[in-house]
Amino acid sequence: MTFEWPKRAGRSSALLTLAFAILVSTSSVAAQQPAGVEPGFPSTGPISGYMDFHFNKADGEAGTLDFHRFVLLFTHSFSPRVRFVSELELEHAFVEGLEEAGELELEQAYLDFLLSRRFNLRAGMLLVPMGIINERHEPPVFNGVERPFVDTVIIPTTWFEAGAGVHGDLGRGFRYRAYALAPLNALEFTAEKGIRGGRQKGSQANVRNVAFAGRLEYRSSRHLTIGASAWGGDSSFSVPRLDTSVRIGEVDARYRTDRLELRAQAAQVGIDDAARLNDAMARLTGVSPNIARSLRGFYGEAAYRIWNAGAPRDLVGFVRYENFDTQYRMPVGFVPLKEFDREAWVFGITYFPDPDIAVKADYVRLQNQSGLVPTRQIVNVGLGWWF
Amino acid sequence: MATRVIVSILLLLPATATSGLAPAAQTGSPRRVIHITAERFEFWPTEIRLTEGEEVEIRVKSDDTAHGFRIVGGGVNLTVPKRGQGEAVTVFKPEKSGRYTFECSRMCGAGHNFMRGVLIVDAPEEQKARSITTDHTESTENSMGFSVVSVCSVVRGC
Repeated sequence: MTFEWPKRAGRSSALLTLAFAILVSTSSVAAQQPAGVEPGFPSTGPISGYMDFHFNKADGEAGTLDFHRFVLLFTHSFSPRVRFVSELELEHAFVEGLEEAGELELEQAYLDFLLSRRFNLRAGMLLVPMGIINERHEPPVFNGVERPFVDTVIIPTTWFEAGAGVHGDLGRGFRYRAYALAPLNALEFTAEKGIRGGRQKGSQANVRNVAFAGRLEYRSSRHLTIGASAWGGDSSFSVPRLDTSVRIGEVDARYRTDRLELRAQAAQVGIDDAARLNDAMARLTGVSPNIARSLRGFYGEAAYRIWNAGAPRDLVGFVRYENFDTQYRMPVGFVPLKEFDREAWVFGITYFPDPDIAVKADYVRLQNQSGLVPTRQIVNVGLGWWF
Repeated sequence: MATRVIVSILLLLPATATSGLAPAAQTGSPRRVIHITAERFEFWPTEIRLTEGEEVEIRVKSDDTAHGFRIVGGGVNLTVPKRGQGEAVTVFKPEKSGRYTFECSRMCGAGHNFMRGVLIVDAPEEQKARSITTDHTESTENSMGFSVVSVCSVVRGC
């Protein structure tokens, strides 16, 4: 992580420094706790992880086999109160310099200082607490071979960033996370994929300005969980003349009984100063990227456990409707590209030969509002497992 | 024949351990059963109220992968079988009032460290007063006395 000390960004940098100072001071407090009471500490591992192996076939295109994700998790508990968790991911099986085929990503690597039920500290590489999927992305946890489009294009999962913050359980069903993180880089935004390219991924991340992310969850019963997330941060550190703040608001709900599971999520992204951002990027690249000032997406999913006798007699059918538009509101003088105003119907099944193994198949009908770009029909088959 | 004898002894062991550690359990007084569900990445319920000296049976089942159930500082650390493969059972008798944190002790995914809950043990007089004041915020976790009467992790029934 690269620290710069610009004249106008003192507040955010000071906040980050303060967060680290609190962390350092609290770690000494944590170290004074009676760590010896619990046998088995310190302890390492065991290694766990998850894998995603996909076959994708869009109409008119050749099918592809892709070992999409190979993820290993390493953990170490220094004491009952001080713990390390990491998640190392190899995407698309192969990584080579200057190619976009694969990625080797450090998705999580943090220390947790578990101080009390209501207040705990966390620092390192963190998952941004946003939406249903970003913090719950193991293959058996969600339906569909690929993650929802909204959780890919509007909320750029897997979204991880370097930073520090607090989390806890407030009681009466409320839980929270609040982190200070490296911001998005607005110069990497695109019309098609929105803010996704702007993730700095904790790689020498510029923290001239700091972003803040928070999530509040409420679980009213065993069946219903409601969540709301927010993100805010200045993202124009590469072009200081701009004032491109990004704000994200998100709400979601999950309802689950023995057989039925319902999920719904909506998210909206606001990008300030988008017109000048487009102008600045056009001057750099020669092409206007047509970045919107607002992006929006939502989906609803209904899943039913058709066969409910326990693995290996465990089969779920689901249907999901998604609507997502990365050109939802344009700055004055810019026209939206309607091909990026999209909706999708996803029908599929998930079979569990074991609770930790998901065999998935689905059909996707992906439409857009453009009269020129045709509807895509995609068949996906996937195998995902957790161990 | 030898196998049958060994199996019979093994089956009798939990009962023997229970009777040795918990005379109260032999009195025939009803024991409260607390059902906890574990799923990525939370327990339900996350907050459970007990009364000091009350012997309860805690039964934990999973809605997805295998989890752990550990009472921090309490010597209880169970493996919760995967969904549909049974439940973990322990008998717990707190002898002092206070708070006992419980948590998942088996790595279950990205949000594993969020899986925590609390057993709030009221003194008998607090239990009565709680009808007037319900918010109990004093944190004295990990320093209370208790006894684990028996522990077992069962597959498809106990």
